[in-house]
Amino acid sequence: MTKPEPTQPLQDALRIAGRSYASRLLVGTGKYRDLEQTRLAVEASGARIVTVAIRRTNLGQKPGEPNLLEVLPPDRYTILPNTAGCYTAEDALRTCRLARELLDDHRLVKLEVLGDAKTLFPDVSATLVAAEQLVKEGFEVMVYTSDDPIIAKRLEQMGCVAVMPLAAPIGSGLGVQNRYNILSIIENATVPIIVDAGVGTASDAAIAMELGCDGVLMNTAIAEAKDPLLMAAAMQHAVIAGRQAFRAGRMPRRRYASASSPLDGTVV
Amino acid sequence: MSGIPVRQAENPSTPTGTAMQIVVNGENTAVAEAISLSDLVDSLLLAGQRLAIELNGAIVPRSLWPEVRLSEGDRAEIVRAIGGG
Repeated sequence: MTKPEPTQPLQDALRIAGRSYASRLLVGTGKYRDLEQTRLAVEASGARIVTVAIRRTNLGQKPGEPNLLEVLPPDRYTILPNTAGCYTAEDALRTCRLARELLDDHRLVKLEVLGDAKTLFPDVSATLVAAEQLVKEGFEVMVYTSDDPIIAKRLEQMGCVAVMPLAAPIGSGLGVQNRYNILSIIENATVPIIVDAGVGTASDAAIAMELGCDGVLMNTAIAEAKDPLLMAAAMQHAVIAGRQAFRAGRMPRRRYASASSPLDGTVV
Repeated sequence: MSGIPVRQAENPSTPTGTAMQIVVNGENTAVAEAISLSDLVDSLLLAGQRLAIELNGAIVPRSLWPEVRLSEGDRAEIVRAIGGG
């Protein structure tokens, strides 16, 4: 499905796998109170790409119970199925194949292979195995990984369409912990680099974007805010602000002051 | 069981005229003999929903659901998209 986004050319669009997206903020859809809050938060965020999880259908479900893809229709959003909860390459592959069938030959997936339930850090070696196989099977792989520049480059070389290093552990809200690694990843990359996981508040998202990230993916920072809709809007602004600041190019840091008002013509 | 992380399903209602046991999403389920996947989806009140089905470890494309018949002991996984990050 992976909807071809723009009908008109977008300014400074995020480009992934040949498609353009009007927002550089990607959002998850977990942890919300209900589907209505999910829908409103996604709307308030301005995100065009939304992640979903693939899970067993609840067999006790009443007919007519609303479905996530009804409130976030795939003709309106680019649905990014994830492999959250997978601890082996095999499970991740299986989940992606199910997602492809579920979403009518959908190719764009978010690969994550977790290594440890406490930190949810990625199992990088299993991630590499899964990424290679998925690319071989024609998937467009956006891959969650550690903030290791060597691994990020390797995933890119394997054919992943975006590399998504963590800012901090999933759901931790700690913000970008290793700016210099993220910077190194960005400098070396020829595919979009999207900080995925660990953003806690708007300034964290702005920092990631100011570093030169192509986008930010978050879930908990919005869903667990006291007012998720307000935070979703804040994140939209933060990502835009951070991107604009990056493109504008910041002033150099100086140790000492540099007067803003001219000294010529002072009356004293 | 490996694979998709589970949310425990409740026991689905048992169709009438049951003759065999299969496993649906990890739950023992009694169904009519040689029921098709389409019939299974209907009997679980899931018709019309966006689903994917894996039968004994292999994905069955939606277009084949009407013609794929289930056998005793088959294991079906029926999945959907839910909120996730």
